Amino acid sequence: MSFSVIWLVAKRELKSRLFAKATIISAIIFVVLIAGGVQVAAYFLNSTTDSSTAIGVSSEAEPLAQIMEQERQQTATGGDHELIYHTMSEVDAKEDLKNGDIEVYIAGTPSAPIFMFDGNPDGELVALGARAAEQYTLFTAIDNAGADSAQIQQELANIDVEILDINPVTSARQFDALKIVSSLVTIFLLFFALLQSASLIIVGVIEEKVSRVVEILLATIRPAELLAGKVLGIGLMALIQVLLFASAGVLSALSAGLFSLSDINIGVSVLSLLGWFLLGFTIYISLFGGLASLVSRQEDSGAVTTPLIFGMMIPFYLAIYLIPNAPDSIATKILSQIPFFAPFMMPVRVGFDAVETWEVVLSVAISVITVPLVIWIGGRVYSRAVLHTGGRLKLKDALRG
Amino acid sequence: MPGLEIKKLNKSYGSFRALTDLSFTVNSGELFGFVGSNGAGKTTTMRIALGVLKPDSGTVSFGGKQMDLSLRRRVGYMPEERGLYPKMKVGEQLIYLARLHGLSFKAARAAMEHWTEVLGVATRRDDELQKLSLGNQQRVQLASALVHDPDLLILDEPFSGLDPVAVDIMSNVLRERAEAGVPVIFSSHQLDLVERLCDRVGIVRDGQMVALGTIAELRHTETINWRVDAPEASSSWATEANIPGAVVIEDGPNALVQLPTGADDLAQRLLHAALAKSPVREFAAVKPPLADLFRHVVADPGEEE
Repeated sequence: MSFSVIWLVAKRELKSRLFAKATIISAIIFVVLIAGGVQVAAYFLNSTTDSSTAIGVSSEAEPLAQIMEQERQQTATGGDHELIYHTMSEVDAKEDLKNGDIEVYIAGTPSAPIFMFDGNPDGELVALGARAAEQYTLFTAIDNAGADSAQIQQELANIDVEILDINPVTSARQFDALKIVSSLVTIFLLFFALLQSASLIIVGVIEEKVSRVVEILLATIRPAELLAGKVLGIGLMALIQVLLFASAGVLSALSAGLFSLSDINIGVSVLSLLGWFLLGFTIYISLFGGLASLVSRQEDSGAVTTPLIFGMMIPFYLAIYLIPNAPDSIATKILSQIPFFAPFMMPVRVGFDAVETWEVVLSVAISVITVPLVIWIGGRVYSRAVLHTGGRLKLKDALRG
Repeated sequence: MPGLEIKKLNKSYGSFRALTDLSFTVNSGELFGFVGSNGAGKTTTMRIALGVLKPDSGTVSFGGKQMDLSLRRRVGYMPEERGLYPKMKVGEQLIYLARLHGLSFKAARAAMEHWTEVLGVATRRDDELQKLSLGNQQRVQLASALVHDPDLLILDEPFSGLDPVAVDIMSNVLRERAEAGVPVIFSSHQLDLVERLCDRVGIVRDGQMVALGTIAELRHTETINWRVDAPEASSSWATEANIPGAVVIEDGPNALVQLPTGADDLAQRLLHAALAKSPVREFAAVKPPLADLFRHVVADPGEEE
């Protein structure tokens, strides 16, 4: 194998596809769609998370509002949802309730509050108010008994409940939403890139076969060199596209304020996802290239493409559905060691933290060894099949030669 | 110097026997014509010589060495089914192919410029191949076989589909390459061309070499026909001349007489007999054209060897 030859082939492949009008146009369309889509999504996300609830309070019930606010902060009821209190008279409040300017009006006394709604009472708010009323009553009683309610309140706030899980597997797992999402995004990108590149390499191989240029090429270079060059060229092309689309999405999200750069753990996790992407891509595309040479005409490419795409969906869906539901099952552990499954399943397992280091190392090793093997087998099928014209060559015959 | 040596090639496609013990040699500086009817095994032989196809048995060597990848890179090949990238520009394409054969970019560009010039497609360098006429595509195809200055040329049907001007250009290029010491092997159905151009010819039938040699050797027969144009001679003068061993095929003012090969004295007697009757405008041995030989050899399975 001569790398300079592989690189020549790859460069031609890259150049002839990257600068094709269709590629440029579709890339622009995708970038616009992705960047625009993120902006639209950000608009909806921000409009729900930024909202706050306005609450009207009678001057008599004001102490209750203070306790509600403390309670809300301590127990984190309602998440980051902010409560804004306005002191107002009951007459004004009824007007505001009807207009929707406030969600609820709290009247009555702190120990016997009245929660006034304009239809659809908010159970969570009422529960919060009820707890506040209980505490108000309790603290009033404590004060009346001569003790310092403020100190008790302080001690209550300091209560720290710890959760200890003695199961070693589930206890080691800390779900990190960003990690899970980025691993899922990776396999989506892999799947997307594979779908696109699969058709590129299949069309490319058949094109060479149809135009018969392959006969001249194979008289000069080894089939495996030709196949490796094609995989490298189309791989680089897919990588450039994925990076372009990903950066369009990320830049758009940054500008919309969805997250800041400090949120992403750039480094090991991103690099390992990239590694899995490259491994998965190389394995699948080499196989596709070899199999594409079995057919002689573009019209027959479906005979090879369809089973391949269905085949690709199996590890993809297993990664999406099996792992979140059964991250520790034997099936998950075994399947994620198999080369064609690993690139889809391992990143997700890592995302869920449901994996031991040695398992990752082993599956990477197996996949890395598989790459030259697949290229060799693909090249073998390729060299046997590529000069075969007419009907579809049976895989068995191609392997046997 | 030994050129291309093909020894005892055998190849079957399933139950179909494509080649049987096919052997021949093409020396350096020799133009070798490879003829035979469709499906006789010419393309299979060439593909095996190129290493694109594996024979069941037999060897291909070049310059005394077994043909391998490094030798194959020094071969210029024009496949029967033309093949280049239709959407690639002519110049880029030729440079790419030259580089695959191991040339540096600079040398590849210079070679591309030279051959597009020689073959008359220099003005189309920046056009996509598919925009060229079929004849011009064929010229580019030949350029692709020549662009890396090969040590051996194997061309499958290089003349099919060419106009007379292109045929002349192509013939000159092949002749010139052969004179530069490159063994050239090409197949063709245009037998007059093969006859005019080739030093040696091989005729294949059903995967076997049924005739092999120089044109003169192939033409060598037991008898030679002589054409005698004697306008004032009688209608039976040749028969009356009574030359031993002669067979009169046509008699009269325009006679055709068969004599044994090499019998110069008999030919002289025939000429004298004619001159005695009439002035002679033409007296010539009629060489059978290659086409006749071809038909003869290819059509009659009982006749060969």
